[in-house]
Amino acid sequence: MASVSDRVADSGAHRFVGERRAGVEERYRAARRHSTFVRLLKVMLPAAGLVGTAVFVAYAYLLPGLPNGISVDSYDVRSDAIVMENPKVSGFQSGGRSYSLHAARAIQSLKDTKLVTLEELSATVGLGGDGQAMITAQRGIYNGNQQTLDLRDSVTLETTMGYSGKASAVMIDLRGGGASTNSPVELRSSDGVLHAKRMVVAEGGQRIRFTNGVKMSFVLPDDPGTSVAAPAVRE
Amino acid sequence: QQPAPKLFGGLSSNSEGPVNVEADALDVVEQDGQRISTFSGNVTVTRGDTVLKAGKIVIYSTGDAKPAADAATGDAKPAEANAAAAPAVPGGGDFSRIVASGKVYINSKDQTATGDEGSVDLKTRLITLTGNVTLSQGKNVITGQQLVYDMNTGRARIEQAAGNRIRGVFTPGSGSGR
Repeated sequence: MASVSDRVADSGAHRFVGERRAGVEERYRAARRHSTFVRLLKVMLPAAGLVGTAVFVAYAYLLPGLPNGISVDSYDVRSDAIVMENPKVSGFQSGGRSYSLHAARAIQSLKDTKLVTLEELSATVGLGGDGQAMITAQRGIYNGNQQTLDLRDSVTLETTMGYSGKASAVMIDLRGGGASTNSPVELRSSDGVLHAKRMVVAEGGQRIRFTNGVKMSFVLPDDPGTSVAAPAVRE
Repeated sequence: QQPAPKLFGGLSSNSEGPVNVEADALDVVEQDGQRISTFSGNVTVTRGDTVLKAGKIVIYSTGDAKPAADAATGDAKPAEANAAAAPAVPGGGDFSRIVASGKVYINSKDQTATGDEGSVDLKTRLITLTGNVTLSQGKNVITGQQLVYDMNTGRARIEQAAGNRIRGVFTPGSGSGR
């Protein structure tokens, strides 16, 4: 005996036999339920996609050190990354020193959301005391897990403590307020210039160690007492 | 009293010219208002024609240099006068003392002095060399336990540990006074 559906097909859509009628109606309702479900899915999935993206963007941004300020001009979601134009992030390191970060573009890979590549970036990092360091670089990789900022391609440093610096690459520890470079660095102040192959800044700038060869040239504060019989103690 | 102004004069701050320092490493630490810069490993300090070599040189500078606010380019920041001058470059601070150790050697033209340790006190303007001190000019050599050079008077004084004699070797015809 052919299945009911064949029978229905053979006898056209109009003639239903009483006892088979309930079966057909049941299957019709099931089919309709199915299509409703499909329609629902069609709507739900994109919505879920959008909501998912928003959640994970927030998650990616909110979690690393809970920056207290995030602003992005625009961002578009590509298959492998999120590209944000003009992102700004600010937060606090341990010890209450603030940091703020601005870039022309930030590219957050979807493979590892904690890694954000920043282009043309500038960062302001609080140092020990009330000092502040302003750093710029062509490129930087922000690692949300380790709270580090790996700056590359011509890094410049300005500080409110009267010295400035240049290096080809610097790794900044945003949480500890330290920085290190394993490529040559130049530091300049009003009275002198220092070149070193390696530099480690620790304790928020309270301790700086230069290694692998240091050259420094500075002018001694001119001594008012030029003549030999100058007063021994300078006021 | 042995006048040796040239030898040490070069290093004192009242002769011009930048000071150049080379070393394997430099460690700069800020401690309660004082900045301690420690150069270590083949340290060479030159100024003009005076050369100072030592295993280690520690420069103590008080951080009360001129406020660094004017040096910072960004004007957006409030120009607070910042006590800590350039932490990385000791030149920015006001020197109070320099201590050299690990075979100290100072040379300026034909005058040379060596000792185990040396220190320059810029407040009292005295340079002191201690331990196996030798002071030579040309062929003339004097040895002793301590040499103190007074930047104010330009005079150097060699002292010998009690009981030892000051040994001096003078070669006629190569007087130091010339």
